Amino acid sequence: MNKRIISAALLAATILQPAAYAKDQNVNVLGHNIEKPNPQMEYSPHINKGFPQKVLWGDTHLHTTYSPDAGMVGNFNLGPEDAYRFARGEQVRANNGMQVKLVRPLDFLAVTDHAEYYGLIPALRAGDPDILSQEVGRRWYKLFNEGAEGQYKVLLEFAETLNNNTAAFNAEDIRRSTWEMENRVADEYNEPGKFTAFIGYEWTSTPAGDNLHRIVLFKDDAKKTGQIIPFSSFDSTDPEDLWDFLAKYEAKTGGQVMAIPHNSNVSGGLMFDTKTLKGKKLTKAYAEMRSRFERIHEMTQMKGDSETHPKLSPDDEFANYETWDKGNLTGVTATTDDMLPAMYARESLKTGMKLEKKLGVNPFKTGFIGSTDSHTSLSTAGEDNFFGKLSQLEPNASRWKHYTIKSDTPELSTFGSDTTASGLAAVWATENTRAGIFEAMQRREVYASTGPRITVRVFAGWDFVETDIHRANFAQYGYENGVPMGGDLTKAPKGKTPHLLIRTLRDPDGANLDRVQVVKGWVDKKGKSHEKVFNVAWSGDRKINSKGKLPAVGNTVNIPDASYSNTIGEPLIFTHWKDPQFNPSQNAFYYVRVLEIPTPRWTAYDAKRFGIKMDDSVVKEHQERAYTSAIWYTP
Amino acid sequence: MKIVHKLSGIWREPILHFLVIGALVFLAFELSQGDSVIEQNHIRIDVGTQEQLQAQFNRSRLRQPTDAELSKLIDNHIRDEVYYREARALGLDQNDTVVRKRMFQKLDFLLEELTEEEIPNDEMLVQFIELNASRFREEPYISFIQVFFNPGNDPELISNLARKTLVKLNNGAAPETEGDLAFEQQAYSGVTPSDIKRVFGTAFSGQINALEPNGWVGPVKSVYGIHLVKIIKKTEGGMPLLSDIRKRAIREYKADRRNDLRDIAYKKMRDRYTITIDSTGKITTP
Repeated sequence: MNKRIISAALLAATILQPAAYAKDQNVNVLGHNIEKPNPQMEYSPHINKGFPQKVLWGDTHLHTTYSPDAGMVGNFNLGPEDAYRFARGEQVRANNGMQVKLVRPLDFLAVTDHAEYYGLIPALRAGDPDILSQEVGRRWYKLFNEGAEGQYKVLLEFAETLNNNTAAFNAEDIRRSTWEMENRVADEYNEPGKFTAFIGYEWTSTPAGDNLHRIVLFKDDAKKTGQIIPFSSFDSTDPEDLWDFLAKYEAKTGGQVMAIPHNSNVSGGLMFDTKTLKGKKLTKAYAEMRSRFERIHEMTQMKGDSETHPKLSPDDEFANYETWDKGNLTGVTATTDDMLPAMYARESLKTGMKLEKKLGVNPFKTGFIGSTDSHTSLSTAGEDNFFGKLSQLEPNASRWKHYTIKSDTPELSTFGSDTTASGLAAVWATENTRAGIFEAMQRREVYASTGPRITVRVFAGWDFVETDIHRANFAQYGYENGVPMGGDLTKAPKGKTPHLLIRTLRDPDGANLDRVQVVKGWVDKKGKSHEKVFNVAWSGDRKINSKGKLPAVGNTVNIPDASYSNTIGEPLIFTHWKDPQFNPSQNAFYYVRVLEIPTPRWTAYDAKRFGIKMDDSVVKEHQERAYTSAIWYTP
Repeated sequence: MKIVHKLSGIWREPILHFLVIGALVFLAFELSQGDSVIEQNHIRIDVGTQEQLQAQFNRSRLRQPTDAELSKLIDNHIRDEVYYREARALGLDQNDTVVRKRMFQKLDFLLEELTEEEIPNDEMLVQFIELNASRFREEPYISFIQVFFNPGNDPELISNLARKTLVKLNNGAAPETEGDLAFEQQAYSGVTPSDIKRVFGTAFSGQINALEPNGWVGPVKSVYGIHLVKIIKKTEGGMPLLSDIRKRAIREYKADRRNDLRDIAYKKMRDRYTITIDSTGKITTP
């Protein structure tokens, strides 16, 4: 026998042999049969009512080492298994060597690696012969092995090819086998009733650096999704082509799929544009396809919050929250004011109603969710447990000043401190299954949180009264006499006005609530859109001042100590609101925004834990929030 | 390494298991290099090597090579081999960072493949679970009723009301009409402390978990207000049977092995070396 074989065998034997196990160990000494509740003998009268009982929390946007920009720079170890394990509450070692765990597990997760260069990097790192047989593969391999600087160069090449829409490398075998592997892992970790592991990916259309990215999320298992491989932006950067592909997928497999736009805030004015990517007028067919596949919008995440912009909502003193408005995704083009309307969620709802009047179909009728878009395989949306957007931004003393995206134009670069410990998708589903959650997303009975698990429930109807808010059968009454978030009111009965019943509970292990607001948007007779933010209920005995503003709730944040106290604010706010300026002939939408009291931002926790001083410009406290999907009124 | 997988059921002894896996993996590596006979100045291109070259071609082009193409593949392979051997004879593989890196990676992947193939037996799983008992211990199941009071603007008044209600409930009053009914549900059946934490917060969950089925008690504080609580039934948690958690135990065992493997392997390998670092006065020898 070859000497090397023997030494390898010995090596394997010595280093891998498990610690000695007692031979006579009784395998059954471990435990006892724990008496589990019998589902046939439920005590509670409130179960199985046929409507959602509790809100489920999850993340539909997470990258692992199989995404090129994760696997090339820093995320060398963690694949989908680690991502699902972590989401389910298991402890994982991050790429920086630190142990990490969620205090509360998620109810669902979608691993959504980029369809472009899908699975390429682990194969490249392993020196896959097929990759090394091509010149570009050999060059990338060499750069990768040069360390961080070389890896960053490859990343720039990836970005460049995305901007130009030309794949520098095609490895169909690797894409297919990675897709099959990720589908298999998702199926394995999917446990109906306990934890939902979705199959999905990200379509990364980035023409000239403008972000048109969509998460593609399947309701189905590998039997159906395995019949395709991801449609990538190298196939087309035009969302219309993506929707065509998704329609073909549904026709071919009988499955169901949706596309979730995100980071409209770095789309260079394209995400909710009033013309197509090809520059044509929107048509009814366009609106039908878009609204068929794009039911929800991931409008808060680690690359900033896209609810609204201070210039679009000058009267809203909470509009400037985690704003990313320097430039487009890769920092190629600066943001200009004319781009803003197509880049923020609130304005997109207004634009959608205007388009509906013209086209007969609202192309932008989207509910709201948050997700992380983390590239570390670790879904961490908590300020005190933030493992960063990218693996180089996992906790360390200088991450706040690292580049997130380095632009050739210095003022368009973004930094670690600009990233946000956000967000989560909250779903009012009837059950924790792929079907249950997917269907709730389709009916938009979902909302976004910037991280805290704030419970928000809202019903709109014509006949609700103040005392309904205190009903013991609140939810049942709400469904029977109104519509939940994401729903529609139509044709107001004569003399009637929309009434909203709103119940909010603070995160049970988080901060108290400052206020509950209703954001209304409407279109007037001349076709012009408007918005107004109503303070509906708040903590303490504050009074609306002469300028119509509610005074600030106060502030208990101690930045050096990264702490706050719940001595201000309210733990629960139940309220009833009636639109004081309802006009039954005008299209309108209403969504609820709930603000927490001020709390330390992740940067404050970093400053304290690493004992460092950051630039004064770095924000260290903020008011986290939840945004519900809207309820639409259509005359 | 499919070859290993097929054989994995044959043996039982862990040491033999790893010896044979190690041998097979390296054999496979040797075969994949293409030279079934390695001699100093002899290069033999056997049938297996030729088939492998064809297969590689087929994977990237999705068709078989023509005879001319195969001949070219063989020529290239011979050329590679001659270069490789000559370069090694000249010691060009020494102190080359790319070669070193590649060797490092190959060993690293070998180790990873070995853990992927490893199927822990029951004894190994039991020991693993016992070593990590806190990760596997099952929570108790609790059935309880809570009556909620929102302290609102007058906490003292509400607190008094709660105390009066407590007496009523202990005298047999029905909870369904007591307290502030707007908050959550009153009755929970067979829920775990984690479930309770999710709705009422960590502190409240801990308090409920400490109670025993023994009539109405309270007030118990949560972040939302005060509660009167009656534990209906409590089933103690504890260590589950292996058969109930086998799937998760295997998953976690493998994940831990993946995590620890590099450290363990490095330590064991490093222990076989004597290391001396010449003193410059700048660092302390480990």
